[in-house]
Amino acid sequence: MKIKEGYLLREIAGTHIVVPIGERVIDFKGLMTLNGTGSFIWKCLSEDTSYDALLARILDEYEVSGETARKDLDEFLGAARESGVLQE
Amino acid sequence: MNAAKSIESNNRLAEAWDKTEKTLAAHAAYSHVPLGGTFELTARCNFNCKMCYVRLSKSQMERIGRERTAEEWIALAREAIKAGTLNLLITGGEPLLRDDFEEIYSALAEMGFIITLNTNAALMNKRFYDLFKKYPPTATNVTLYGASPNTYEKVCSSAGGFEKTIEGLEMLSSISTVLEVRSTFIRDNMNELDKVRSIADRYTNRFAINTFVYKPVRGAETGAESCRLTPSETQDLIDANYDYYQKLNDGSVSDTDKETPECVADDTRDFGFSLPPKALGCLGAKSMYWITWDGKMLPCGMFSSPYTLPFEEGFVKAWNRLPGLFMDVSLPKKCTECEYSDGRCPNCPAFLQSETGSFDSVSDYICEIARERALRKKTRQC
Repeated sequence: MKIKEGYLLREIAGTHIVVPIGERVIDFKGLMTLNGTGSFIWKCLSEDTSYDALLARILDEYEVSGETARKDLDEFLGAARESGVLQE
Repeated sequence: MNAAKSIESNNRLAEAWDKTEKTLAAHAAYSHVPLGGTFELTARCNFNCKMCYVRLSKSQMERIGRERTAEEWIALAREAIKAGTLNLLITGGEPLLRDDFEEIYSALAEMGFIITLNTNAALMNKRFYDLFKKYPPTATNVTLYGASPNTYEKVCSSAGGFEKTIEGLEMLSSISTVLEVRSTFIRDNMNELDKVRSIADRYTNRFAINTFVYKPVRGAETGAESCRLTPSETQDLIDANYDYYQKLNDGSVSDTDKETPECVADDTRDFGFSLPPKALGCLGAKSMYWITWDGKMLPCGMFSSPYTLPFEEGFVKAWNRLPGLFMDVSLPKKCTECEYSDGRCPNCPAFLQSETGSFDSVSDYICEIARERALRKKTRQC
């Protein structure tokens, strides 16, 4: 899975914001803001990767339990699917 | 596309958008990040509206400065993106009048701005339709100044402009954009509120009345002062529109109190803080800016001066210098001590400068608006 083409992750005034560019404005309106973990996962998803690989990278980056990492990842992927930004 | 579905969807999206934007605006103001900007691409317009605050003919423009090229706007936009600009208003004059609009717009649309477009819609054609289908502005504000060719002739000196505007609205209503119709009422169209709103309702339920008609600024010479309504007459229209939406109560969005037609600045009191320059009670020069057709950076488009020069000195330097130019600006003592300075008076340095030519003089027109507002507020409370 990976983030579809046409989205830009911008950091503005200390906030990570997903902005659709060009034709993506048609599919995606408003703003999606990401917290630190969300921003990290987003960057990981700039290249095609698997669920397990993502989970491993989160555990490598943050000192959290497997359960917390899985919960964060599932939450992110749920929101990303709902927003239609994920390509699977 | 199903029109009802489209409107419902647009409103939901717009509400979510407003909510997020305000939080971000507060962060940006604290950090002096230029979050919201306006590119006023031209002062030329296909209409010649009596009440316009900015329109210039080509020869008038040549006496003042020069329109910046597409290349210059695109390069400046790249600097603005790096500096943190997210929301970008593209306006004029009539921006679609530029031969190179497509070139500028396409480049901006690929950069990562959230774009709002101001247009009178009358120049919409297949080429622009295809452009906006491909790159829809997140929001589009269309001005509608009457309900007939006759009114358009009187207000805009263009009888044919009415049909063209309607055709443009038709096209824009099938673009995936949050469409808002805005109107300004003067002597010549003051009796057409219901008809104008009824036309707007065909395309969107976002309808707004521009509250003030500003005197022309920055060299413009239109006749706003002789055609504008009295504050009492304007307030009558605003109240009538308010009552309409109150009775309708169907979730329609009416923004009946647009402080400025092109206002890019929210009141900092909404965020519970006030930042320097203290005289600016908005986000102008704090997280918002306006760049004029000839390349001057101002806190908002109602100012004429002082300004910085982003094309010459670079965007970041111009932005960083901007607040300092307004540190010594203050409203007249009579205004700061006035009983209506509690928010009932719409006075601000930009409004005062556009009315009187300076920051030091009191404007009778603004005083009258304040008195009328206070009176209406009292009446509503009774």
